[in-house]
Amino acid sequence: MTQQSSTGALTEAVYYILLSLQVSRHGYGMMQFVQELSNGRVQLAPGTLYGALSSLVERGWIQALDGTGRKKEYEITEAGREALRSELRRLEELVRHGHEWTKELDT
Amino acid sequence: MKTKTVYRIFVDYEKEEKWLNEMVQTGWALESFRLMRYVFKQVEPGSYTYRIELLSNLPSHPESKAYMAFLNEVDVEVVDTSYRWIFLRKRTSDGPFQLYSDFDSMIQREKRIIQLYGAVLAANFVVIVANLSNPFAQWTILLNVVVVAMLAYAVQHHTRKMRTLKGLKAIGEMKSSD
Repeated sequence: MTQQSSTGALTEAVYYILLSLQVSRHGYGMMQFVQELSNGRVQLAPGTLYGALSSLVERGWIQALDGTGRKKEYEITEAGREALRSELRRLEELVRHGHEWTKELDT
Repeated sequence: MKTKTVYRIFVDYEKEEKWLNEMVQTGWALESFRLMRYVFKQVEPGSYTYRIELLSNLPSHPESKAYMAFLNEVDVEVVDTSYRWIFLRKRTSDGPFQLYSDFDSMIQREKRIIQLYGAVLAANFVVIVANLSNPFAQWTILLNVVVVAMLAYAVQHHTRKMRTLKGLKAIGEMKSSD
């Protein structure tokens, strides 16, 4: 359900899911991690999270682990790591430009 | 355990969801649903939040099953299913309950709703046209006209909602507090 082109910006949900999956987690674990990391600002609702996970698996950025546990766990793939790194570079550029062009505002 | 049965018809699920949440505030939690028939069980008032979801496939479809299994993992209980609709609830003690937290997935939901309502509307319209020349079908036609009018209103409401969501999405990300 989460759509973006291969070069475009990630949605906030996808960005935080990828961040959280650097260690394997199940859905509930991702929701809690993201909520704690963002001090409650970013909430992943179940329908949105599920749709994003399906899209990310399809894209090959994350994979489901064949665990024996009741809850399905996921982890990031190398392609997912690359997507995360490229997004981080894009965000750093945005932040740098933001600071450069709002200097007169920062008094 | 006290239960009560209520018969009601809703054309739009939004009003139905609102009603279910009002019922649970007064201590009656939905336990099962079958064609207009709602069975409630007495609970501590406000102990659940209800949401109604429209699946992309029937509940027996593997994709639907995987989604429902996922919902169970995150403390969401599937109370009952009816065609592609599922009735969900979460304990209020487990936190707030929204199904969607970004514009993309909300737009997708509106699309599913509009498509379903549009198909039912079209089917009713066909019945009206087919019965026009039938003198014994006046009351059927009247009923169909009422259904068509209500569905047309619902389609328009959800189309407007989808347009608003698309407009907001063009500007930025959703705030979680929304």
